[in-house]
Amino acid sequence: MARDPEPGIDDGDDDAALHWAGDEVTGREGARLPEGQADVAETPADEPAPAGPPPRPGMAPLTGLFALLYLVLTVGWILGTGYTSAGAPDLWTQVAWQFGEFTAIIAAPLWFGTTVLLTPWRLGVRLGWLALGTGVLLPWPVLPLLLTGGAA
Amino acid sequence: MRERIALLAAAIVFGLLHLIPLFQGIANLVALPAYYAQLGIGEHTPWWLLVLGVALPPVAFTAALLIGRGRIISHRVALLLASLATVNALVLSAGALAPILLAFAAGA
Repeated sequence: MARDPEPGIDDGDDDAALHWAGDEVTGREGARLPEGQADVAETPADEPAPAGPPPRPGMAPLTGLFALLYLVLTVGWILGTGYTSAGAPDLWTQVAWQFGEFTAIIAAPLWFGTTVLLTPWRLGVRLGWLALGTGVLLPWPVLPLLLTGGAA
Repeated sequence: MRERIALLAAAIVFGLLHLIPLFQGIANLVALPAYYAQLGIGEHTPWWLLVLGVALPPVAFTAALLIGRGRIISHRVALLLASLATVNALVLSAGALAPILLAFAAGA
């Protein structure tokens, strides 16, 4: 059963409901919103909210430079693993060694990717970790190839 | 709760995977000095490299866990994976460096 509206609620005077006594004196007009909501209401709905601080200038080119360096490191590891051997013929040692070689090859891209992922707006921290990675992940096993010029 | 279980599972799996290079490091620490001594070059044993080979896997694993504190699970797994890969790369580097160090020591 539909209830009849209460007298006085639906009498069509919405504007009166959004005003307070004395608004004319203080210069206020229209509905009042809490301080924080007033700004939100003025923001266009189709404008994306900023995701965070803007990237530092120079971050993209420097990251790109390190990406190239890490690519060289990865190629070095691919070539270098050809010069390593498990030293024991049993299956477990071979499997563990192959796994180690595979992870060594992907170590440089993993270090690069993780650093870029975890330091989105920190240029100094990112460059520091990337520089540390180039030192740590130098492909020493490729040294015989470099020394012999590929003749080995 | 589910994220805690996933994190614990990831920590256990990567902890076990870090044991492989740790065992290799321990095996090298035990076998290489005896091998060098047998060859009569025991004084050229690269002790620092052998100790590093044993210390690095637990240190890298702990560092990955500490750096990942407070981050989302995917970032923590990325850190653990990068740690494992780096440790394995360093194990191969140590294996390549040992004969180079020996050659330098013998030449000096």
